[in-house]
Amino acid sequence: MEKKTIAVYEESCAHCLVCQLRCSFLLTKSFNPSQARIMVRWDDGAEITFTEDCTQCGACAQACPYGALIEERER
Amino acid sequence: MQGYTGKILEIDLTNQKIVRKKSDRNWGKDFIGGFGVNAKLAFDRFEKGIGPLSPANTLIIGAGTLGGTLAPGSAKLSVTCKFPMTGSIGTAVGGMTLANHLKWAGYAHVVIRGRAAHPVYLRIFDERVSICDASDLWGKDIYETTDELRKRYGPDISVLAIGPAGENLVKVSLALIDKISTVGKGGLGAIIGSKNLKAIVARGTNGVSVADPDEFSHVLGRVWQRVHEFGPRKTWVELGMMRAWDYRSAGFLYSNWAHLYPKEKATERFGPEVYIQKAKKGRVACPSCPIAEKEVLEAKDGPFKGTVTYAGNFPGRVGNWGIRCGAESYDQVIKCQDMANRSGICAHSASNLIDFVISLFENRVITQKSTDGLELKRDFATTAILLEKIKTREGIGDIIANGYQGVAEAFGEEVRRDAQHIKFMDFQKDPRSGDLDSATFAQVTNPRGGRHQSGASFSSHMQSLEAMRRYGTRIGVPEKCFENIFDPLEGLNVGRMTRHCEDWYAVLTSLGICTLSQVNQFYDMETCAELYSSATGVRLDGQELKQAGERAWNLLKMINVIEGFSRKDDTFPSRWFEPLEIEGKKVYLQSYDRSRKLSHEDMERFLDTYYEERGWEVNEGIPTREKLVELGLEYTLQDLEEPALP
Repeated sequence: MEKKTIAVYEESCAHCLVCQLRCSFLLTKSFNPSQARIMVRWDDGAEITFTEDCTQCGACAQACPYGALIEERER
Repeated sequence: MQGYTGKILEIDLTNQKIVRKKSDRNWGKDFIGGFGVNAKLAFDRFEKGIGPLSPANTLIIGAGTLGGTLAPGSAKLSVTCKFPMTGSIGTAVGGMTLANHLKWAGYAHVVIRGRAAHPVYLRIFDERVSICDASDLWGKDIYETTDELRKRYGPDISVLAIGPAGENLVKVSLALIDKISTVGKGGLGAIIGSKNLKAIVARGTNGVSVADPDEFSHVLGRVWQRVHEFGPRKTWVELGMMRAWDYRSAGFLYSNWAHLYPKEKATERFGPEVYIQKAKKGRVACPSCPIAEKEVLEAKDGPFKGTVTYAGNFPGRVGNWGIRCGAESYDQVIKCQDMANRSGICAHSASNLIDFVISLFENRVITQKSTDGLELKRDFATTAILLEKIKTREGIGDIIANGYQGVAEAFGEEVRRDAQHIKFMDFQKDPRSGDLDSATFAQVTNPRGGRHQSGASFSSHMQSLEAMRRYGTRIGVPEKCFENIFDPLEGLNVGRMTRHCEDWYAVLTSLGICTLSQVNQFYDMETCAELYSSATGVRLDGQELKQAGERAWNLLKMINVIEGFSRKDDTFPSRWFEPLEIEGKKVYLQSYDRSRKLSHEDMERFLDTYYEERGWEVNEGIPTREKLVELGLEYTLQDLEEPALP
């Protein structure tokens, strides 16, 4: 069975929060980064983490405009 | 919270009172949000004739209707107040995360007035709002202040802070949001400082919902599709504004609007390749922005190696520090930028004024008697000393800190005539070396002073008239207006076009969308109306939205008319009508299509047509009663008849 994972390239992240906004909108129908299952923190560079309940659905990677999150398929 | 229907947070620093109010639902329909509702709040709260640094001056902060959502580039924050540099009431726009955190916390607007008895900062964490002691932060620079507040409350906050320049009431001051985005050229830092307010800290965790999530999501999908299909985006992200070096460098290689720096030399020192090697560290985006225009800069070598600082529109900063002030390398440019950022000094205003004062010294209009004994040279060392003196208001720094009015008062009438400003604010675009486009023309008509953003359009890239017509259609210009905008004699009538660009600007900033053309190119007026309608549940079409933008612009204008501003203040800088020498050739102000030389009279005629296109009275340059009635703003005429406060 094919399984998806999200590859993370923090050096490409621009901290636009699109991933968090997209994730929270899918989960809650509201734009609320604090409810997202992905978290981006910034200090002149990004640190990207996922919560334990993230299912790696790939929505964040599909939305990322900077190539910091790439959806990869494993068999 | 849905769209604009967030609460208004009213803070009185004098009485330490915090009040939450519901916003009037009609305001959203009439004024959209952000910039527009700010204008309504300003009209209702401003008393005529108040001092910009008095407790009565009110800071009106507004997030856009789409702020906090996934709409591309929708994180812009509008700040409306009476600016000390110009004495006019205007709206400054900033980015990064403050607008979003306010929206996520449940607030569309924050209104701050009064003056605290001692230094404070304002903390807005969802429903918990408090005024906190800032005695330990007062005197710290903006980076130190922001770092300390992040240490205190964690990294997931937004911080708007002022530096020592704001505390010292320097008129060429501003504030920084999250250490990165400037806001408030013209003295916002001084206004905030006059209130004993050091910073605003916000964190929102309630989120933003929209009236029709499915429709909103569907329209957003279309806009993001345009983003992903935009081929040049990759190089925009790689180079930022440096991508436009070849075109833009012509617009800033000046000293004192009189001499052009050799472009070859500028490219050798500061061009895109050197920028990547010597200055670029990374790039950061405002929330939802697909272009990441903000720069993280690091000096890679030289005496200031390792200095890390931030800037938007970086080629402009090269022009500020490298060309006007004579910094010779990227490490010197970055050091100047870092000093300005930390102090809360506006890089554009300060570098233009330093350039002007150096020119006065070079031309022997002033001597060492006026400069604290300093020999003013066009170099990094002089600039660094002057920046420090401006920050602390020491000696000649105290004169420069008061802007062009201060310099003219100190050095005499001859200097006043030679100073290049619009409503006492420096400007950024000169039509002699660039184009006479709406962005350039709007510097004259903007009530806030010489700001070009309100006329921003892609006409600044010297587009064909056909492309301009398509652009006009995109931003909602009615077909019937095209006949006059595209004049058979002039090609483009820049006065008439500017009116529509200002309406577009008012709509964008009311929605919270970035006015940089590389961001808002993904939008058109009808799409904006669809997003507004699905976000708020209030149905407006594109023309109704455009009229709401026009209403907001007219209301801001009327606030300034009540203050006494009129056509006499919409003046053209004298140097635009003098020849500029470029590579041995004299270049004059020319029409948009460069088919003929323009005189001062020609420009006044363009100004006539601007007022005509606005439906304003031409001789006075102010809205007519008929126009105000059409827009539902006739109530503004009552205030016009009241006498000025002493």
